[in-house]
Amino acid sequence: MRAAGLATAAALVTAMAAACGGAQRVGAAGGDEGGAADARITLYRDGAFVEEQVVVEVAAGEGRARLPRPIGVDLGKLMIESDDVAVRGWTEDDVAEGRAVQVDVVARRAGAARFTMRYVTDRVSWRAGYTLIDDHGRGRLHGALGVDNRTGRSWRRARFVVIDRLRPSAPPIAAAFEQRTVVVPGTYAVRPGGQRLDLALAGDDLRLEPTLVYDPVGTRLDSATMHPQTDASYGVERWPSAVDESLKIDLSRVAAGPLPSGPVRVFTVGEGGALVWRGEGRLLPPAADAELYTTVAVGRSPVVTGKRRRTDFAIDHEAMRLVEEVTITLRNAGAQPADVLVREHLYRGQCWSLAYHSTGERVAKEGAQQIGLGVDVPAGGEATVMYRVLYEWDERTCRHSTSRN
Amino acid sequence: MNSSSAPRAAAMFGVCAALAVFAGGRALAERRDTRTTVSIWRGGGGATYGGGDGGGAGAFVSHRRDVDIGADGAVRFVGVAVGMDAATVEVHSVTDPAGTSVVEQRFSTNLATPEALLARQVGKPVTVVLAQGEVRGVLRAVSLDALVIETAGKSIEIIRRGEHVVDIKLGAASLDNEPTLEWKLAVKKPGKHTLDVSYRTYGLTWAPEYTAVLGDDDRVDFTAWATVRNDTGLDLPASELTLVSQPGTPAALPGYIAGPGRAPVSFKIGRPVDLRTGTALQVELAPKRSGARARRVSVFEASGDQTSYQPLSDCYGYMPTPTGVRTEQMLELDGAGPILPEGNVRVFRRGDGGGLTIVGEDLLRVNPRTGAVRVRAGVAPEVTGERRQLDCRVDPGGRSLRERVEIRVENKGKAAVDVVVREYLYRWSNWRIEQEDEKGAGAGGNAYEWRKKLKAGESRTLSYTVVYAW
Repeated sequence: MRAAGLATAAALVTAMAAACGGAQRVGAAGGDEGGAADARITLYRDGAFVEEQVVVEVAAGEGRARLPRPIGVDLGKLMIESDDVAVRGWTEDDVAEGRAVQVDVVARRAGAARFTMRYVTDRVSWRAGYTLIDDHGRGRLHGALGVDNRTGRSWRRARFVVIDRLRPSAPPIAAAFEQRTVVVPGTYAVRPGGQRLDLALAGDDLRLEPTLVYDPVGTRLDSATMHPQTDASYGVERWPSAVDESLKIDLSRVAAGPLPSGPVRVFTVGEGGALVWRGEGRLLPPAADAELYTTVAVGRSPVVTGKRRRTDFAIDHEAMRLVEEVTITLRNAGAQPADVLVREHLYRGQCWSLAYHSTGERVAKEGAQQIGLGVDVPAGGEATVMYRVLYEWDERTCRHSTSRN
Repeated sequence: MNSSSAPRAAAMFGVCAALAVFAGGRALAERRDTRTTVSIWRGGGGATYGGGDGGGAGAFVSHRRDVDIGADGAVRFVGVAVGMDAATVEVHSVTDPAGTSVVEQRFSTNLATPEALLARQVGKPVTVVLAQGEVRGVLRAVSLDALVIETAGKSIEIIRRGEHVVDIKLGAASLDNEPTLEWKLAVKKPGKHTLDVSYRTYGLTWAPEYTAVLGDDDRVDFTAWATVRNDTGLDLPASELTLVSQPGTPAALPGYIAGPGRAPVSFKIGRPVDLRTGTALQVELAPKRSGARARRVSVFEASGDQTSYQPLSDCYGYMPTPTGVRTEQMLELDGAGPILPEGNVRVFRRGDGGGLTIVGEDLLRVNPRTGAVRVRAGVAPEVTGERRQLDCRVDPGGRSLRERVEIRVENKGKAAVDVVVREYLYRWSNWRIEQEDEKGAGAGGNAYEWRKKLKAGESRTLSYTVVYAW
């Protein structure tokens, strides 16, 4: 009974967090109980690519089929095809019956014809939100997508795929062929406006591992470009010294692939099963070779502090290379040794590689521009972490970032 | 925008908004012509003719219509494109070609401008839709800044024009409001004539739109469509449409000598199409190619096309491509049908479930000699090379330049690759290859290519001599 109540509460919290409305899940996870999908929507950070099926009646011979026209889609960017009829062209038709596309067709026989309309739109936006419930050391993770549909279109059974990156609009590069997709289970009835899509994560009974994390920079400087920020002063400032007490969550059990980035709200189970706000972390944009874990800050360490300094910088414009060295010093005023995860963001650009790091095997790529470096800090003592990162700006040869040489 | 121009712009916005409503939401105009033919040229870049999309762009419209010619020879031909170049008008009587000629021509076009239309409504009923309600009455005066309306109660309202003017509803547009050609013809046989009237105009444009869906084993689904836009202010129902691609630099530029392989290519649309003003139309440029097998080639380019409008008559000027000498991996499809114009191609990859993933957008590379098209699929870092100038001599008297170039390419990969060495003979459009180690071929304009198959680890060197003359 209590578990059911918690699940309900979690779902409510996630729904609120994702600022969602009320889309209705039609099919179960991965299933097709609602029939074949009538739309496949690939969500990118800056919009969506919609592939929708429309069935209309056509007369035999040369004629016209009237298809719905999504708002904000330029006719020249629309793609229409059909296996049932020959499509010879189309034009706008905004008369009394509303927005439409008139398609010139040649049909071998009268009857229902299926059309596939494809288009890119910036009128579908989304954000992911997660809720983690810490139930006395065991965790439950729920995730949802909040989707805002402003295309004017409705679909009865839409399938969603998330590619958590900007839509490729430049000439193809190798990385564009290696996009990581997250398939949202099931199909959804989608109407104009806000929707909530449950990610149906296998997020029950997760082990929550207390961890100290020093992450003074965060993601605010992340430049998601292949060409790095070459300004020498970029990222050189006085950074906070606070080390967070965090919960480390192994996500490899939760989903087969990387999850869409978004905030993770952490609650603990309080008196009588009520949920108590504890903190907020963030899942970062996934990278193809990133480790599947995340940490969520829930407090501040009273005894461990850190200091971050940029200790070297060199740029070679001709060779299109830039090297930056960062040194982090951790101090532990406590009586027990501390295991600290130093999180660093390779914020200058997406084409980077680690030239050197001082933590041996204790290094992990956590995201497209994020690494974690593990270090033990002795009781009453200090430890130093140092790394050198190499940025390059040949965007056509830079496939993706790597954490090791 | 300065302070004085802002109200004017706002006023114009009001007019444009009003006319947008005025023009929109109506059915295609009734067909007046017994035959309408439209040819639209797409230029190859540079200067624009009347808002087209490249140098040499424009359209040629021809109306065949039955008219009555009185004994005085006066004819009003109502309903022509507003952007018509009156100097290009040709009138031909199908009924009596020898006995009919133009004595005088007048083009009434100002009636089609927003301000002229409004001015003609003075003294007539008008409804002004404002952000907060409507004002109905008789239009008494109009300026760029204000409208004067006499309402039913005989009161006068002065409405400032700006963004709050959502719409201005006029009475039904009469034929007089349309751009009209007026002639005085010399005719031997007054009465019913069938006239062919043709002219050049702007406001009709087209652009190719390509889609390449990459599947397994380098199979490609390739579609070619054209987006045709009519902004002439004139509906052109049931038109016979021809789209003309005019690749390369427009020949109209002074001093330009056309290079080889730049003949215009026509695409005749095989059915009548309705070209409604203010809208776009999508027509198939070439039949869809499904599952076409593409060749994967590594295209080595050591320089971009640096062609100038003047000969580079010294031995300098070579610059590597802005991103350095490199090799791109491309999927190449043999030509099929007419040679396609270069244009934007959207590249997708087909996933396991049949859904598509966006891979990128690029310029479709077309070989205007063979019709082969190339779509970029990434880079080929395993193929490297260098370009060296071995010799270069200018003959100022003979107005020529002879240059010898050596190119070395190397396959550092572990598999054999097909390499295309692509050079741009950029010093001038009038060039010829005097000597080459291996037989290459022109690839359109100043591009010239050699094909090689390189085994793993193999490197090859080729040299050529080119002679430019101007």
